[in-house]
Amino acid sequence: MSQAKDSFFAAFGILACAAAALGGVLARDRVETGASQGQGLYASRTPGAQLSDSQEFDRLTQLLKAEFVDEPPSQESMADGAVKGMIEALGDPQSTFFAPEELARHQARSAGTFEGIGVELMLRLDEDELIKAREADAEIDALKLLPDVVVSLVIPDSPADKAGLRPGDRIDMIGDKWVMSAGPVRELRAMQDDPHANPTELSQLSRRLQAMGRTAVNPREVRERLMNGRQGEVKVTWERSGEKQSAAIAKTETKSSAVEARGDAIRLRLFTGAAAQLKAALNGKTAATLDLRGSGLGDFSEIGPVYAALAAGGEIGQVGARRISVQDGRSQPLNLKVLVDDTTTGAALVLARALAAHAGAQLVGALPDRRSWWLELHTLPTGSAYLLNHGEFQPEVAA
Amino acid sequence: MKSLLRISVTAVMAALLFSVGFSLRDLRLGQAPDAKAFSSLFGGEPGMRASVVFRDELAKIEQNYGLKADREDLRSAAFNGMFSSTGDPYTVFMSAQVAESFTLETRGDFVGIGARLADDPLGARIVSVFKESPASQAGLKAGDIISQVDKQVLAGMSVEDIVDLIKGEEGSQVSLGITREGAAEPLSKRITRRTVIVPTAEGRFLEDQGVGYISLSGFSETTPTQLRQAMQDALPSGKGAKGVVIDLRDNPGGLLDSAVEMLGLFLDGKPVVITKGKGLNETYRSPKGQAVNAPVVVLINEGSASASEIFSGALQEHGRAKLVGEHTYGKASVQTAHSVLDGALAKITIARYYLPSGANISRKQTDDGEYLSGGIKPDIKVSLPVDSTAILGEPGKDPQLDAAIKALKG
Repeated sequence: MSQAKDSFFAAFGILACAAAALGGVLARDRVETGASQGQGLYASRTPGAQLSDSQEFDRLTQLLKAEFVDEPPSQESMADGAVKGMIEALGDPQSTFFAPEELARHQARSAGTFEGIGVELMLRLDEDELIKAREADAEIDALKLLPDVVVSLVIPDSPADKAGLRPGDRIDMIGDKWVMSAGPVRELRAMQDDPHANPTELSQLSRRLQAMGRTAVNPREVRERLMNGRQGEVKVTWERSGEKQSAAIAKTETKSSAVEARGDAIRLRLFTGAAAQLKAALNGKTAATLDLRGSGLGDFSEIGPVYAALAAGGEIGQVGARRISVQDGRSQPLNLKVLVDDTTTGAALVLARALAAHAGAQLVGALPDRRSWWLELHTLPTGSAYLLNHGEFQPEVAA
Repeated sequence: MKSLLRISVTAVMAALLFSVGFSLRDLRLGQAPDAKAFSSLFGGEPGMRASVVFRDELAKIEQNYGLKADREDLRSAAFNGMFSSTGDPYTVFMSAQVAESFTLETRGDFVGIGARLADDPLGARIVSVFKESPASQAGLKAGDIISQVDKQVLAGMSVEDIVDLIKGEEGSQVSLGITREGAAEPLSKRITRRTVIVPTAEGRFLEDQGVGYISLSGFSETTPTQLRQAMQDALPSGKGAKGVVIDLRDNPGGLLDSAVEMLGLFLDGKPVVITKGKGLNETYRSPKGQAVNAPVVVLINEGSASASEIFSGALQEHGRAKLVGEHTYGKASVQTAHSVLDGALAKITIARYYLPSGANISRKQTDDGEYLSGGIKPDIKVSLPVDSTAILGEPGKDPQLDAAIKALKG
């Protein structure tokens, strides 16, 4: 009798263990798929169905984990890598990925604290060509999409300021390395299209370009070299209206305030906290002249509050289908003059257009013949973030 | 009592076996059980998953980006970005389009004009013209610059895009604008496209010098066969050839198996390369019974990579050949390519390789990509200046080749 009971127990035991082991494998399977579908443990998977974006991604990470010669990267690294890849694929100089260290610098710059030689740089390229390329997805003239590296802001009293750099200057060389840009290639093209061009000159120029190309620094690296670091020195060559200048410029930390009285005008930079400082500067005034030249990118979240300090609230424009409106504007009107030129950019450009369209501001000088892109910062759970171009800001509001 | 004991033991065993089943995939990879996965069983947060971040941010970008963005491009870029988070430049995700040209490189044929092109600010510079190809029949020469294709100006375009314009349907025609040194006017050539087998091994006998010369430009599937033919062309019988120069300069590599097979012509059943990776530890030996005796000198430079380094490194370590020129690149890893999705390819570094002695030739470089250390050092160092006007492969016009010939005869 007890022997039968023993056999029963033994059989039961073995079955239970086998079932447990199998159960473990199946449960893990469900956990892995379930997690990527964002659902619970008991999510079912339809065989043969199209894999979702995250499932496809997971399949690739599993492959990597199984095959890669070293330890696979962490989930955080892979997440950052994926997002960085997507932002770079946009090929849009306004949209940028920031790893945590770079994000800290970006936020510091947005608040007016700069590392490096004391400039902010922007990548400028032929916008019409970029839009054409995105829309048609057809023949892109690669040449025209090569951006120029241009100074967008110079911090007062910084090493760059003392060396003579000004907003609008194009960076030509770092040390003895050429900064890639469309200029020399355009020159070569023009010569090549010219039926009377001297073939020896042509091949000389071609050879010179080849040699330059071998040691060129790409535009994003230039930003690294001039805007990061607080020590040492870097030799910079820049170009203004066809003339070139060089200097060895020290790197340090420099600060600039958002609001600075300069004679009759208030030099305004849309750094974080600008609105509060502006309110104080405008206290009791009925008229003001704002200088928005050499503005740099600025903090787009200051646009609304700054506008509110300057004019009555309401709708100030649109970005795509999204309407931008300002709450709690001024109750007392302000007679506004705004100084602008080709170096008015970023958040300041949006502000200038909005003030001209809705606050009766008088623009002194010409706005650049460029679109005012609206940029927003999106943060990631990894501690990284990206600046995304949400589209063109249109001050006209559709009725 | 006994029953209670038995039930408890069974319960414990079951729990243990459940855990083993749950962790099976980790244990098979030789890794510790995934704690995060376990915690999610009990309702805990599964922790941040890259795939979820990817999914969320892809949606956010699609929704908010102000210009048009192609979803497929974004996905491919994300997958590739995830692969590059390994820090390994050779572990990449290739979308179907990119994968096509990669596969072509290792397969060895396509429909075009039959010339090898390199980047040039004016368009594309012809590096070599394949024998009996449409390009050679049209009179194109190495050094010519293709500046127009069917009226389209090429200045500023990448060589990959230019190659896409030149390739086409069998029998179709393409018009090329050519700039040639010394010609006052640009030339115009109309060429009919044909199937071209990329010659990766070409040999000839240098009459005046009395030695053979073989140019190896890749290690594709067809290279071992081409090499045998090239050896015959380079060392014709009855000419008293003193040996052969094998030119591996600017040869970026290719298939490891091809390199090993080709070494059989010079090394008889010897260990030629060691690979170490996940579950992939192997010593490869060259085939037996095919080796020839002719003296060999190998030309190398920084453009010689991967299979080129396996090939030249094995010959140097076994004392079979002297290496002349400049140090090699230092790519000491092996990749495998998996087909994923629709025609896309996941290329992953699965192993590192070492020379027969165990030497590790991995490259170290600066942030700008400049060489610091690594690669294989030549026995006889001969450098070419950066803006050199040397014509590679021409005795008298190629200092490195001249040094190699001297080493063979001396």
